[in-house]
Amino acid sequence: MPLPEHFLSNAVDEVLGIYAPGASPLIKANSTVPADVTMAHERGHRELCDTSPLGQYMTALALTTRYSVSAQSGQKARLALRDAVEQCWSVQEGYATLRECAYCIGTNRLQLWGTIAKALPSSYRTALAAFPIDIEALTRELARHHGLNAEQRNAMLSMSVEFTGYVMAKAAMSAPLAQVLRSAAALPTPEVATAIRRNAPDTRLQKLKPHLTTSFAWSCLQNVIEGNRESEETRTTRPLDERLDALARDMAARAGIAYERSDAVDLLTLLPRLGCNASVDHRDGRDVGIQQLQAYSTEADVVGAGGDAAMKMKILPLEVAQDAYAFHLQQHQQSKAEHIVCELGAKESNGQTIAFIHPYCTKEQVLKAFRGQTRLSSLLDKVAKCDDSTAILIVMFAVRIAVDEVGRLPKTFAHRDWSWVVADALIGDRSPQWNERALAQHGTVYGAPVGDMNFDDRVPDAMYRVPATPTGNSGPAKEGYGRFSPVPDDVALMVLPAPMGRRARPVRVMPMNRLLHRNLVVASFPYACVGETLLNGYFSSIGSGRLG
Amino acid sequence: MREPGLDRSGLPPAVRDIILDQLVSGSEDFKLVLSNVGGGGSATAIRNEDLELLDSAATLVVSFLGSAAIAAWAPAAVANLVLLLYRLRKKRIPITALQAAVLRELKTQGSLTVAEITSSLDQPGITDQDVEATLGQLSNIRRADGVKVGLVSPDPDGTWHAEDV
Repeated sequence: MPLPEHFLSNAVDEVLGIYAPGASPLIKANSTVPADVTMAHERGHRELCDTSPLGQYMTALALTTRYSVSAQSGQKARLALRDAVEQCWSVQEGYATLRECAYCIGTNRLQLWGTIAKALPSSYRTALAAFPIDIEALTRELARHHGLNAEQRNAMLSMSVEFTGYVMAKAAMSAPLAQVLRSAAALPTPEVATAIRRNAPDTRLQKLKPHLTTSFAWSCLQNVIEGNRESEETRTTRPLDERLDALARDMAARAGIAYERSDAVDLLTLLPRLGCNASVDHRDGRDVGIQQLQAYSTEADVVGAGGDAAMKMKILPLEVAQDAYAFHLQQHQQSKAEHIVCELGAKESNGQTIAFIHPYCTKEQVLKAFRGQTRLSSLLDKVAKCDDSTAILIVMFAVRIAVDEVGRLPKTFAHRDWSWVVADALIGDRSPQWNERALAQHGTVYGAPVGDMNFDDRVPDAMYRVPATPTGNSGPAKEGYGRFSPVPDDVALMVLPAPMGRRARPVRVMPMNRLLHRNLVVASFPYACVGETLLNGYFSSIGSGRLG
Repeated sequence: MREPGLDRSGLPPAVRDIILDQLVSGSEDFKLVLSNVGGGGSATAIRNEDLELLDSAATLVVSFLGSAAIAAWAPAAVANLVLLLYRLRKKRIPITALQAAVLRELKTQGSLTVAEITSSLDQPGITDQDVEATLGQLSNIRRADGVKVGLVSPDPDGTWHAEDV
């Protein structure tokens, strides 16, 4: 029985590629990358933003887009941020992807890295190639050290690849910026944009590239080992950071480009000048305890991890799921679910598909069904505090079913309302994996994004706040010490206009803290069900914060 | 059988790759071809005439910027200029590379004065007068079907801003 991973991977493969008529396809394949590996990538972006002058300016701009005193200052910051991202896209994506690679080496998952590397979009591959670390040469060098076992060698190799890439990326990102920011009459200003463009990290990277040699990578590794040892004594990362800073400065000097330390740019003074009213508890991460710093650097904006969970679910035959469903309904004292959202995957070559069934009930139904059950009192208190339209999941099933029997699903699982969620790419006239009209006979059809997290420029028809469930999809907004912590306070559901001639409404979820306007009305119960499904279901997806 | 002609335009591979990837992620404009369901991948098709537009947009940008500027610009910045030019031409707005560059400054920086645009363009030989004339053209440009559209507008304070078209 094929695993769902294959199925999602196939679904993604179907949409990411470019084909020139009469030519071989240029494939932009993607695959299901485990969350911890993606996290390694995202941490790369964050490190560069935390430890370079341009990164600090970009952080200030990003905070301003979220906490602006006016819509105008938010919009100006958004444009300036986009312009700055454009100047360092290759450095950021190249290093972040290299970090993914290093992480896979360090966790003994070279095969996974091979799969990811093959699936990288060409622009990411090109960005990665700007960091020409000779991994084989480093491996040979490490093999000469007989005291190391295979695992230790991998750990060393991983460290060497990661930190060598970091030093080079940091050198590229560390063009002098403090003076022009200080002297600018207002922020953002065209003079600052011009200064960034003239010292674009992406062009600096090209000058640094010839200086990335195996001996330099080896020297990076030795400095990291020594820096880590010193850091163990001080219990802060300052010794390691000072060493990395010196290496980056040295590399920049050899490439003939100017270098500025990240602390030359004062984030806190930039914020009011940009029109940002965020209150940020800013500390120098180098002087914070290592454990605290680790907590900061590993915190993640991981909403919608449901996709991973869904993929690990046991896939049930329809009859088994039907019995289990009846049992759960009975527990909830319901004869039918208030709303069922059914996610449909791709049609498989064997004529089957996997459907994910999400039956929801209302807050009121839960309170009524479990009233007086003291062992549940804590949970029921939380339920009572939820919004009235909160969608509460009864249970979730993954069901294998023949494609031509999909119409049976609404008859099998008793419900009051029914919706379908299908990948955007699998519906529509040109790629009719699923017939929208046939599905629409049973309920509303929604299109979910797969693979591509970029939001297009279409203005949503509607935006709602998805009410948090009692178990909580997202924690409260919090400011990480030192820097903004991108944990979403709430999640918005965006309903986009259906493309011409299509029925399925594209829907997206994104953290509220990425929206300029956060005073959204609470979603109605049906939309709350759809929002919850997008957050926790098979197609769960949310902006991952990737640059570019 | 042919590849997209970006290879021949003189664009560096990094720029070309960003353009191609962005074309795919903005796939609403293109047909999805699910050539091998559940199998070895698929493609997004570009119509022949659109490929030609893309080629010509790339060639125009290369000749406008020159090889020195292309090497000095970040790849994503060059790619986005090509894509802006391409997308407007796809909308049958026969914009030039200079017009696209001016428009891009307004789109990426918001409202700007003529002098600020000239300075931001940072292109030798482009004067305030050139920029002013270009803004005049962009504010009243004729589409291929004869309809006039305004891609930019002046503000009361003497700055200019880009319109959403």
